[in-house]
Amino acid sequence: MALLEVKELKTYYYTLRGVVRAVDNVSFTLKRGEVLGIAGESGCGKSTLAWALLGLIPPPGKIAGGSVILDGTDITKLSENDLRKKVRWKKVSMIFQGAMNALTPVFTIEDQLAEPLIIHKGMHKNEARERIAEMLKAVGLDRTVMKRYPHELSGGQKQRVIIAMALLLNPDLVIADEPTTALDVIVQAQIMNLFKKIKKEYNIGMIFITHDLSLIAEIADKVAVMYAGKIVEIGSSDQVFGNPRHPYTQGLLRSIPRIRSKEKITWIPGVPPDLVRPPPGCRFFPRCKYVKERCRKEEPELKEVESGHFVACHLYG
Amino acid sequence: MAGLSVMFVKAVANALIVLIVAAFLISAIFVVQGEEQLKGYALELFQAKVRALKMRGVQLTPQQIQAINRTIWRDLGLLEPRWVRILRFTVWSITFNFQMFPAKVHYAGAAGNTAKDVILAALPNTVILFTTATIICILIGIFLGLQTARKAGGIADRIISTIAMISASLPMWWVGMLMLLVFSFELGIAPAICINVYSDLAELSKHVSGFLYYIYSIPIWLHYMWLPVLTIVLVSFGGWAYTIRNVVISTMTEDFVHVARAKGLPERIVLYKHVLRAASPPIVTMSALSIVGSLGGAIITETVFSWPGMGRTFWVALQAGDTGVLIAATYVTVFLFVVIIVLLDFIYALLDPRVRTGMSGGAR
Amino acid sequence: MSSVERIRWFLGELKRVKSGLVGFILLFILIGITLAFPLLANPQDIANWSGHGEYWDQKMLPKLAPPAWINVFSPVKYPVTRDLHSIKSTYKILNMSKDKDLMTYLKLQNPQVAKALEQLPESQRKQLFNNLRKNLNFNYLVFANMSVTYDLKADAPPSNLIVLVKMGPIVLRKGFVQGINILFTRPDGITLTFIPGASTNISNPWDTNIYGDLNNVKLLTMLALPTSIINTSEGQVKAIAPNTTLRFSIRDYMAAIINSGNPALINAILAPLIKSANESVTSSLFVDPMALLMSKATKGLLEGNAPILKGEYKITFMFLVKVPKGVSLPQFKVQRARVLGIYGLMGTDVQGRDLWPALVYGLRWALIIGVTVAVISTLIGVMYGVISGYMGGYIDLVMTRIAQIVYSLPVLPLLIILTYFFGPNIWNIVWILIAFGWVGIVFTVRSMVLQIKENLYVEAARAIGASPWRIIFKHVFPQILPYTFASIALSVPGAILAEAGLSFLGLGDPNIVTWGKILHSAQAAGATLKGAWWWVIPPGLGIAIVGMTFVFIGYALDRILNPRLIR
Repeated sequence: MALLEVKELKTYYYTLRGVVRAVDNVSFTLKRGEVLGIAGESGCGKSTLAWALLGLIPPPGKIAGGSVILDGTDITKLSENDLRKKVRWKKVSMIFQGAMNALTPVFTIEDQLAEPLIIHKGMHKNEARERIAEMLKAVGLDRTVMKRYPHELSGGQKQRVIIAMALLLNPDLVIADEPTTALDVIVQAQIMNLFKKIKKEYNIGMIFITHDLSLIAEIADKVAVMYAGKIVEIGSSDQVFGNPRHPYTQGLLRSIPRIRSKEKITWIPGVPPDLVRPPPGCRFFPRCKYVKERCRKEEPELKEVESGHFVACHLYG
Repeated sequence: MAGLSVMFVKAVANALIVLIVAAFLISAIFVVQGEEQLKGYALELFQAKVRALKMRGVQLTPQQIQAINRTIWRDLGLLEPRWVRILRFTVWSITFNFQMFPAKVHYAGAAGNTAKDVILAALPNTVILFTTATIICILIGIFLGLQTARKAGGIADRIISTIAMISASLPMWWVGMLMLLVFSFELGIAPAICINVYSDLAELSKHVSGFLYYIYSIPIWLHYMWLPVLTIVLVSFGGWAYTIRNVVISTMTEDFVHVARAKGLPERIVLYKHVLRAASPPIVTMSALSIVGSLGGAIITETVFSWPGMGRTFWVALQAGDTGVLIAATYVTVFLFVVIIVLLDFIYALLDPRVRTGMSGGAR
Repeated sequence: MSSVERIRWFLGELKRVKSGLVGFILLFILIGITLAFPLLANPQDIANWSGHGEYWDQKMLPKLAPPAWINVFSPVKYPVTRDLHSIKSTYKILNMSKDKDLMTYLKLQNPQVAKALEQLPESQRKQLFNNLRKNLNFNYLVFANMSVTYDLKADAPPSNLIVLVKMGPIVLRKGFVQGINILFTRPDGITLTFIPGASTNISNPWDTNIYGDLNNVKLLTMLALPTSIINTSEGQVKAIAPNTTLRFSIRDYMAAIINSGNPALINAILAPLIKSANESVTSSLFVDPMALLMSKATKGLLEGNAPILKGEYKITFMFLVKVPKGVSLPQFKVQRARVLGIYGLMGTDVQGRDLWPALVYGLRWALIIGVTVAVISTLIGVMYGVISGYMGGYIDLVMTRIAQIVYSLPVLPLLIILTYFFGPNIWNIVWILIAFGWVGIVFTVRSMVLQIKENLYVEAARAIGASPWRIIFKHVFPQILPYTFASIALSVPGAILAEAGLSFLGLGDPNIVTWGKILHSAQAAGATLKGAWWWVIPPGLGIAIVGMTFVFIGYALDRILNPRLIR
């Protein structure tokens, strides 16, 4: 059985400007031990998707439809109380962007890492301390970090702490939202190695969200490409990178500089659409070089082009 | 905590400089301002003396008249050059030598007639009144602020915001007059002139003394102070609640609050541990500044109620041209202000670790 | 965006933030009221506000009177201040050079002699008359009678009844009895005379015995009647000059008598009333004179506890004046009769000044002071913050330090001291308020500027070689401008409150009327102790409403224009 099944999930923000369709009819599955990479530009709805999986969409957002079935339970139907006690951090945890102010500045690292242990596992402070030290070692940090405050740590150290924090309760699913964005290349490489190690040692499902395709190529088994709140292409890593079908995916891949290639870098002209009033038909049509009449009117559905590889584009039927 | 002690020493040194400059400025202003009145007073004394002597039939040579004038001027300290007087007051202020400052008129509750006695009587009164009221406001403000921040945009929130806006335009002393009209004149359940607390206390001391006196004097104080305190709280609580609500809301938009929720922490802990603690530095700053501001002893409010505190004392002294008391009162206020500012920086550093400097480690 | 688009966008946003809409509407109303002041009230009232006692005396307004509309809400109906118009006058002259009149006079003085004279033959009579005339020291005998009627329908007595009687010339000479009597007739028939020694039995108006004598200096003092020397064809004589006004204020007159501590005097005047009430007077009374005069003659009258006596009251002024040779005939006229009770839209203060015009006028100054101080101090503060933030380095350090010191000064005590120093002129006060007001905004503006400075377009502009001033005005200032508007609006209430506070303490400009000043007079007159709510509530309410208007506006501006606050 799949660990995670997302079916036609819709997450909308009801603002004064209008309804922002941040996640519009997204579906995918994830197996235990699998890593799903979600790629896309800023504003395509990736982070909203991540928060939706925790049931923590900030107002004025709401889940407007669809279901999220985690280990057999539809968490969109659970009460806030159940979500808090049973799902959050125990079954699903999140690794946040290092640039975020994810750690409360007025408490020590130990304090903050101990919280979930004390609250969810009922541990004693001393018990917790040992577990925390273990976890910090696992992510490559010395136990002296425990007594420090967040502002005293470097970007890389903070990121490791956040990773440690996410793994504390041995969750089934870990969502990593742009975990290396604010870090320099060297630290980024170290963190990615850490992720690979975690993938090997812990048998968890992971969703890896980023705009950087090269990172997904490193770690993901499955890849989903998101555009304007929708998944436009999804398949295994080999399939999507080796044989990209959607014009958007192709455009993304062509814009990555390669050291040895003589190909010129091209980029996709235009800007992502306003999610309050997305274009009719295919949301990518204003920027697509293969655009046809049909694209302007009819929204393409995900069609299987090879086994396990789906594309939403009128080029493929 | 090496960083903290370095900060502390620096702050204290800074404060001392400010105090010295302030003492000098205050003395200068009041000595110059009071000089005209003092000269007028000297003239009155001089004329009275000469008249009295003439009535007794004493004949005076011009030199003798001069001498009388000189004596009067010397006694009032007018003979010395201005800067000497200013310096003297400055030094006395800094060394808290207020018993050297004479008080020109009588102030309610003062044990003697030096500025020191006056301030020793007035300062606690202002503290009793305003600090009590401010503490009540802060408590109400934190409670209401947190509640309305949680349900931002809700009915309670809009009501509190409206109350805050309205009370920002109300003169506190006018509300005091209204309260007196309603509770003192119409209903007769509050006294109109709070200075009478002293006569009541004097009555009490005729019957009991020692420890019992202190116990029994509490209801007397409460009887006189409940209306002014109610007035202050009514006018201020809205603003407090609104400001705290804003601080809390902006704290709640911080990422770590979402993270705390994601960790599955109960809302109670998210609010009172993470949010409140992170929001406490600005709240504490406001509280301290407000308490200090009230030390100036809302002059007008105290006057409306005839409450014998620092504010009213300042006003009485100004009208009577009582330079000594004026300098002492103003300086004491500034002193307390500076002290609390220093303490404030210190407390701020305690609450917010990001502010502490010079600690080992630091971001690499 | 073009200007028109900008305005349209702004109006649209304004609809969203309801408080802003309310604020602007209120502002228009307030400005309208300010401009319409000459229509709403009498500017003369304000011109004569301080130090023009005669103006207010002549207006004859009640002192410390509640507004007229309280009768709508009050179960007890109070009498409303108005002039009385039911006045009846009589004027009779006896000309001593006419035999007939002389005969009438003799009949009145000595009926027996007159009867005897009537029996005499005409020629003898004529001779006797001529002799009499030589001995008479007056040519005319004048009798004047003026009565003012007041129908008391209210549930409480008026606070006063004032009658202005024009009289004169009346020659004053020892032994020359000039009669005056002032009667007070109640609906229950009891009649009092206000003149000690005069009689209430006026069946024979030509009988000098029923009058008090104007030659009596004590009486003249009680009535506050001035005398002077007038020129007649016979030389200079002491007299009550022609066109002298007798200002008879029943309350003041009776209060003096009641508080005199002279039971004989009190009894002389109030005897009929006291007897009917079965009471007796042994010392000073402590009762409201009007309540005493206009309550039922029952027990409790002397304490002011008797119920009110409604009905028709009459005040009659009677004069019997002898006019000697060479003096013109005296003229008597009730110039004005007025009953004082509740008055006007906002009542009156303790000096009898109408509070309504003062209330409307105060709005003008509140707006002027508030807006002037707010605009100037905000602009100064913003410029200061921008320069300090943008220049950075040493300049920033020094400027910030200065601002911190000014910020930490205790404002009110210094305001008071400076006002004492420089004199309570309104423009001095405005400048002093500005001197303290500019600081508040500096720190926020400075931190905004620091943030903007970090933006790349600023670096770019600098790289191009733009001068600091150009960068400040083109890039920095426009970003701060919206916040500036909100700040201006939000500083207005503070300025108004500060000026009101100073005025309240008595430090305001003595030449203008502000709401703070009205409250100062109220406090000085003990309005709170006397329950004069109409004096205390409206000015403060005015301050609050004007303040609130700007708070609403400022709050809305902040919400609409401030980019940082996302809802």
